[in-house]
Amino acid sequence: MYIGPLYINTKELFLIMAAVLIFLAMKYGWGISWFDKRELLIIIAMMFATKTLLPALQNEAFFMMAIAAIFLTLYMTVFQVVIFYLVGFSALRWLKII
Amino acid sequence: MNNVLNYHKIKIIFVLVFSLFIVRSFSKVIFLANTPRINYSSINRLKKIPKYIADLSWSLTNQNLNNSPDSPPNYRVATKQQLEKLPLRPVSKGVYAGEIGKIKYYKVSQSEIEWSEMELRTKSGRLVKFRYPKDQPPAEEMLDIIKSE
Repeated sequence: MYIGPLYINTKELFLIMAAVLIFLAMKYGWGISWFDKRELLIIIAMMFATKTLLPALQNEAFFMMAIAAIFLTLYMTVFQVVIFYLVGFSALRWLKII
Repeated sequence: MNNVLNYHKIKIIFVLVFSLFIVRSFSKVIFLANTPRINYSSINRLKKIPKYIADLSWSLTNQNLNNSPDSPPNYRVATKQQLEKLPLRPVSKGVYAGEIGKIKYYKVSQSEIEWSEMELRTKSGRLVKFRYPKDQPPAEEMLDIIKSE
């Protein structure tokens, strides 16, 4: 289903659901061990933007990069994770993997 | 094994590792304290790499310029021996400076400097410890950048 330029499928619905859950966790102060909720929300927003604007993305590579980005928030600052995501995404597109 | 780790997956893993390497190696060089601000001092240092290569003792440029031992010290490069003989005057505690022609030479003796230590708690809750010369406290702007990390 297209909403303007955004393509929403079941996977994107899961992303929206995750974002809503994290937003609720932030609002009501539910604890997520180790992870920073604000950082997770930033990563989900980036994933949502790239996945909905480019629906032809290869799912496996995108999923692996998303998982890597989420786990790297445990060890690196959010700025570095954003750079990692951008560099990784560009490299995957450039090498025609994604 | 072929199904689990095929060529496609190897390429994905390679890209992820490559991205991680790029981020870990260059983000601190290009950006200032994990903020989107550009670290211009590092960029300037990168610009000096060609000069550094030219100044290496085995480089042809350096050898041509320092062919004659009696050559007047007006060149843009100085040999290690010339710098060692150079009389230095103290600028501040532990810092000495001298000149050969147009070349300005500074020597910093870490052990002679009196250091002060400072601890800062960043926004993310990390405790950052660093030291600075006692009479030269770091600029407030720099402390704000560290705090906002």
